[in-house]
Amino acid sequence: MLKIDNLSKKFGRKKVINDLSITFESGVYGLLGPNGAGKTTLIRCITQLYSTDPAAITFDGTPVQRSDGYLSHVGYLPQKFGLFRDLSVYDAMAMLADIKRIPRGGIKDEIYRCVESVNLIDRINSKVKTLSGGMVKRLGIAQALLGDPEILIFDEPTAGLDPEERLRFKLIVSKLDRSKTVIISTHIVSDIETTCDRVVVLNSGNVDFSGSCDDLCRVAAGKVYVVSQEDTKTLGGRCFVQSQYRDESGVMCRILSADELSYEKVSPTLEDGYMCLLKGV
Amino acid sequence: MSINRKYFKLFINDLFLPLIALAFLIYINYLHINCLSVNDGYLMLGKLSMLRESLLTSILCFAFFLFASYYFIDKARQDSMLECIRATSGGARIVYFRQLGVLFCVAFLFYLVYLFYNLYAYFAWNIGHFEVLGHITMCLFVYIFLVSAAAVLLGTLVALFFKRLAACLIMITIMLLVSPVALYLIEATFYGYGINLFSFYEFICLFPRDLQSIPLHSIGYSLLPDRVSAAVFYITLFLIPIMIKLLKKRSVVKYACVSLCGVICAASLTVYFLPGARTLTQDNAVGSFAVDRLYYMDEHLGSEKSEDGGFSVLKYDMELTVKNQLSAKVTMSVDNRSLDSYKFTLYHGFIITGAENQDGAPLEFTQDGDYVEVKSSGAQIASITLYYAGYNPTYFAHSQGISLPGNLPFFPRSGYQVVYDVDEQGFYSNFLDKPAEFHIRVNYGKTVYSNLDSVGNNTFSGVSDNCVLVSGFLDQTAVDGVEVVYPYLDAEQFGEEMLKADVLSFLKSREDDNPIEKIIILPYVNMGSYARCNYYSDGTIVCLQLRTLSTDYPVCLVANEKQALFALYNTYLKNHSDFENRLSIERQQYEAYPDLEPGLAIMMQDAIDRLGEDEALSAIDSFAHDRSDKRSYEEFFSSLQ
Repeated sequence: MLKIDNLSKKFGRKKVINDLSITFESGVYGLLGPNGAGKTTLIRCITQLYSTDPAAITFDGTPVQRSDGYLSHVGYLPQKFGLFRDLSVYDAMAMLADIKRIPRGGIKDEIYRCVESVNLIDRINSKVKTLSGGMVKRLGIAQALLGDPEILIFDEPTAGLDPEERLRFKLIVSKLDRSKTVIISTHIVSDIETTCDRVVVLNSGNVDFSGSCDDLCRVAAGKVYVVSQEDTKTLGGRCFVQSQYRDESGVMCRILSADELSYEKVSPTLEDGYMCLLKGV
Repeated sequence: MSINRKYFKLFINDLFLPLIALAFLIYINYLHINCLSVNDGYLMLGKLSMLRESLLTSILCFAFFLFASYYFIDKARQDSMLECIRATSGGARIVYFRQLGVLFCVAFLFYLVYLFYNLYAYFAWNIGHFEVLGHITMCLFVYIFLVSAAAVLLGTLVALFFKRLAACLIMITIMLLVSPVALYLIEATFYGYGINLFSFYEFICLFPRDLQSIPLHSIGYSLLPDRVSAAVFYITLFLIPIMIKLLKKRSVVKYACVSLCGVICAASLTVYFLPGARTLTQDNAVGSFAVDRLYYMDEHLGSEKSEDGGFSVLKYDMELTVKNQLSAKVTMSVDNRSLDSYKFTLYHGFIITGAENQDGAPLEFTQDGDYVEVKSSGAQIASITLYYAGYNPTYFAHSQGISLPGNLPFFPRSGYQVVYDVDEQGFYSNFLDKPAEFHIRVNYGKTVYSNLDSVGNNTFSGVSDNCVLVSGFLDQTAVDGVEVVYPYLDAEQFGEEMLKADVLSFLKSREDDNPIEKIIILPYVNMGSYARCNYYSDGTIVCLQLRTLSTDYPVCLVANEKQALFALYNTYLKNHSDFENRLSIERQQYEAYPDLEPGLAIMMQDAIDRLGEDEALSAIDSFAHDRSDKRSYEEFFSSLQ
């Protein structure tokens, strides 16, 4: 169990994380928030890339700063990830496995296991620089899996990926052992819709929401309407246009509004709940 | 080991690094092969020419490894791996130290390439002396490997602490600071504004000096403590922040390593600043022979003295120790025991720390520049012992060699003498008024040679009017009964056949009947005409070259102060028209300014007119060669009737 208690982090005068408390148990957590919410900062605090107050973060009851082996329990895919481009996939993974102190005798099997889990076994001898962006990101997942850590953290794992790769990512996550603690930080709600058990919404360094996906959906219950694009003009500032789509009626808008409107209400999605929180609807 | 191979692959698989390394290696190979194949053209540089060729690229090694290290170490950031590595326990440490290992291996590989060519030259050119092999190996180690290691660490430091733009600016600035460009700027600053930054340049520049000029074959290139300690200083200095950044926080290993490096760093710095002779550095306007020129011409002009001490030294007992500088205990037996004070001349670079009489009782003394006065305090003085230590920057005595000719008053002489000729910018050839007995023991790791007879391990004894001590890459041979001590690495002058031919040619050309027992070749330093050749009463010639000995030797038999007269005498004999021209000019000047003293040519011509040519020239020749005759020209010519 990864517990965060009253964590604050500031850079200069700017407070990026503000007295944040949250507990991550086993399961897949989606960490949502807009740009600048503090998601990456939080992750970097968890992975000890930023120094924190000694008691702010504990793993299984032990403050992580005092735990020499803590980082061996963490697999991390940073937002901007790469490998030594001039090495083969196998060699690059071997270097990372060595860094993670995987016993030399088991490195080869471990590499094959992780690369296979991300469906890149056919490229294991290719140079990293010959891989596409999506493949490199998959390799990033593979390296995070090295050593079978209890905590997996993926920071914006689908940024810059095409829909096919994003789907692949979701499939990979869905196959992960549910006894692990998996944290997926993203601002793309659809990435976590079908994969996460619980969602944490960060905004301006604070936790705005922590709960299940259904709970987040319920935040927008009774607030989601479908109106025509023309009708939105009459509503003015009483609503927030969540999305637009075209159907046989023309261009329709999915709007969020706290007011009782005379339009068709629809069931809220995860994204609706998220946007309600963000926009204060 | 397999993991380390991956890091080597990281170096080899890069697009630029192996290409540039290969290009550099090709260039090194070209230089060395060229040196081997056109050896005739390098004879002037002697058997150190291959080493010189290697050392010329020291700055290139530094530049290559500085930029290559930065680029290689920065790969983790360039390839966006940094965050991933840092999120592991000790990941950054493992990656960077392994990368450092690769870079050190590459540097060592370069060193081996250099060593290969130099070893090849060592055997191909029949250098034959094991000490030279050690010298070559160490020179390459210091100026190629250690310099490269310092560059590796500096490049690493820059990569770890600075972003790309700042890093590039820093590295370019460093390269400019250690390049010849900086030296030009420092010279301009010195000559234009009088600001002396040469010491700073010497401190930051790890590369060997004097590569553009003929090396001092008797000592090779500098491996003095200051050079080695400078390299060690920078290596440990750069290591400290690297270790602080990479090693685990609050770990015993970190504290121990950082502390050890700190201690070595401080010790190196201390060694660097220890006093001691440093090898000639001709690219330093205030170094080497310039030190004495500045002292005597600029700072102490007019402070020279000439005074009879009223005594003679009958016997010298010297115990000399040479490490970084010369330390001496010199006991002098004097003939006059009743003087109130005893005046000596000793080069000002040797600082006296104590004086004792024959019973070991301390004596009061003063030292003012080159002049020492020891008070007897009324007691009878049979002998005076002086303790002193120091060095001269040009006539060196240090761990690599000794070059202490009699020109330099490195042992005390009776009376006050003018030591330095500001016109010639060199030390006068001063001799003892009468020969003294010498017993000298030199505590030194190498073989020392002297004009005196060797009576044991670096122990000498004999009677002479002067003393010379030399050591280094020297050999001794006999040609026609004359012992010759020469720097064997100077192949151009002292190849076996050449040496023999030059000595025989000189012996054949002599017109005097002075006994010649020994010829000692000193390292060639530009210290005025007096340094070219000197003849000691024990039959030793101390000179700079064999080839010009036939012309240098006759001149050296003439006393210092009579060189001008002897030169005019030779002009009269060999180039009479020039003598006539000079005479005509002097006469015109004398007619225009009758209050002035008549010139030398006028006095000489008057003597010739009075006595006849043969008698006058013979008298002039005798006067010029008589060192004990201290009369002035006017007094001499007046005495000719």
